[in-house]
Amino acid sequence: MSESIWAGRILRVDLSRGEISEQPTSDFAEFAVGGRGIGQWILFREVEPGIDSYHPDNVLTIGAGALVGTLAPASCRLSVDTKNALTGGVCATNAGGHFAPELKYAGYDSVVVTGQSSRPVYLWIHDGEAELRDASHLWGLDTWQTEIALRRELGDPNVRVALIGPAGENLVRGACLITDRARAAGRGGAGAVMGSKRLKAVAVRGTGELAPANREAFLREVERCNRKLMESKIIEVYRAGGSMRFAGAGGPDGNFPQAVRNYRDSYWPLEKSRKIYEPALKAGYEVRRLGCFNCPISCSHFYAVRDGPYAGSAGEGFEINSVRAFGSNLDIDYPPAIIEAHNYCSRMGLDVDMAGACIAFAFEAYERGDLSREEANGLELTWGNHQAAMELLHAIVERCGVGDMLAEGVKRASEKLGRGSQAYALQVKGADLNEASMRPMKAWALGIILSTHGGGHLDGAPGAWAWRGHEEQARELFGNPNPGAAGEYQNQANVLIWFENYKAAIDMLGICYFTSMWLDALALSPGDYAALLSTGSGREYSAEEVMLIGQRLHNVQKAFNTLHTGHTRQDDRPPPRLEEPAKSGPFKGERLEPEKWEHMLDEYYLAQGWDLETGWQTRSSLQALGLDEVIAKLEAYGRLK
Amino acid sequence: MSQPVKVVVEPELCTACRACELACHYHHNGRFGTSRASVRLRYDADTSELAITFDDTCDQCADEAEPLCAHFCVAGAIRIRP
Repeated sequence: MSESIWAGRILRVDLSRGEISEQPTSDFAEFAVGGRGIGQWILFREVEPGIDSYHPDNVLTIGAGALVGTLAPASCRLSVDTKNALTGGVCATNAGGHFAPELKYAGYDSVVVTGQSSRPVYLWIHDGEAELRDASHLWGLDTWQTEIALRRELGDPNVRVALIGPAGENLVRGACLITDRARAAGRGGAGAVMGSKRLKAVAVRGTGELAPANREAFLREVERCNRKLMESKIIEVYRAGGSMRFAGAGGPDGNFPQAVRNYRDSYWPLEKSRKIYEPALKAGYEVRRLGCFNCPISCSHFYAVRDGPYAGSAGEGFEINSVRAFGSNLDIDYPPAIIEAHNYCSRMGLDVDMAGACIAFAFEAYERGDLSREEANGLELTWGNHQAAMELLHAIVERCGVGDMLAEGVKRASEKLGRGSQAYALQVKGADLNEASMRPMKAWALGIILSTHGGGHLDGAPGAWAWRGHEEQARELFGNPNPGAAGEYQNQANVLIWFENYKAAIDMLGICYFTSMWLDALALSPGDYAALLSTGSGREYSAEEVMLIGQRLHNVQKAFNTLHTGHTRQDDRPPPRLEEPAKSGPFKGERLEPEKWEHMLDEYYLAQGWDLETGWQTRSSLQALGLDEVIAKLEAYGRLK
Repeated sequence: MSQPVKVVVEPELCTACRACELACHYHHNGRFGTSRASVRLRYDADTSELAITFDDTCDQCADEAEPLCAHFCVAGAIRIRP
């Protein structure tokens, strides 16, 4: 039983030696807090540049945030951190569900996995004890079959499992971890790293407890935060329909730009969009709305297909990205195919963003004649052909024919294919892209491109929707009354940096980002999260300190990337496709203009205090954050400016 | 036991978030966990069917202003009986 909001221990597992040990969480809690913080600090200290992501010396951490398992709203997030299988830099990926609180109730805040097993194994953690067990009989099973088998084997239906499927076993670079059937720690190929270590699953069961330092004050803060969330009009939209409310090619009003046909356009006609938007899926397929552990928003949907070629496909975890990946970006407007593609990815343990991007790339290569039908496993890869998309998805997981090439991600696939295909490979630093709105929303696009995990919106990308009607608040926070506004290149750097630091802090706490000011300026602020952490931990944190801890973490990740990949300013530019104008719809003509992009980069590097030529961190910027350890390592490798 | 008289239960509204279990455990122990909860959620991931049950340890939150399972159930699957 813990007398704290932290379980108090970190579990260390050396798969090469088959050894298990522990260290106190207090070694990290002061400066790294929990979750992504502990994971990334361990990576920075323990993984040396030069090793491959699949090398036994790569470290994989699976950690719960500091507030996970408490009554703080949406206190459910699991952070999975490792050296990225796609970019070679940071992988910081995050999942909801029920695994993270169970891990803490079992007595551990984080699990740190090193080495490589000679045979498939799984880790069984239960009430302060841990053991490695043979997983030969589970290797080859999908994630749903494995979860069922493990619960039966361990004799407890309440066991929670974070695991890989065949995609991770086959080292598909976009393989992910799945928990609770559909909650994916999706980006960055953590599932492939886990597969390289031959670790099939981590199963946990705990009956322990966590204790807030100040019980009454903590409950008061929980109640206050819950009230804020219930009063938010934007979060009300998410409570009603989740992020799916913005799916299709326009969301509810048809004006929300999307990726269409491998980003050749940003708009889909309404007659297609309305077949796959949230009200249509609700009417035709929704069985239940679902939420992660202790979540007051419950953004997930359980959809079931009852007839047609995908009859029987049923599952949950749908967010807007699945609809974009397998809908508009492939020109598929047939909901059962999208539902099955999503469920297949959950079963196989494959990131929907990576999978959708690879298929869209192959469709375009086929259309251009860069990929013949024979090379494409005999498939007719024409836009909208959902049967072919499904076959290709299977081929990627099984690494069969052209699927073997695509399983490496679009960057490596385009390099192998050649024929000019790099011009339409939608990737950033090796990370495949499946994002909305990138042409018109310049700051949003910058946040995606600059994300430390390659390309993704869950780092610094600001949502303009949060700030409409809150211009004064925005001016005070960022010096910009319209952060992230469509068409705006200027004065966005402080917005991005604020959100990078804020998101890093939230991931250390293990609270879902949907509770935050990323969705609504009136939702939970740094001060709110600081109040929860202060009353929970018994140590006083100010809003400024929480943001500073987040800023330090972001800088640790930036340094990891510089050390491990050598990425420079030239890697902080968008794929060429996004410099081409959108062809139709409300945002016709919008594109990312290279000259203006360079101005945005200048503004951002200057605001960070980083070197303009390389985009690398400087001694003075890191000294200001008290990151002497980071300075020393960058200096040792000649990558400090 | 059958469901407590102080609350109304509508499983079809439940989102399976288990805030009820967490709040119930807190009522009993003043700490965060789920193992000592009187209310239990059983969820079938194949069909999405679920059941909410209460065991004999439920004291209907006698010393609380209202049953905490209902208080923290945002979905309205467990509500205070009017």
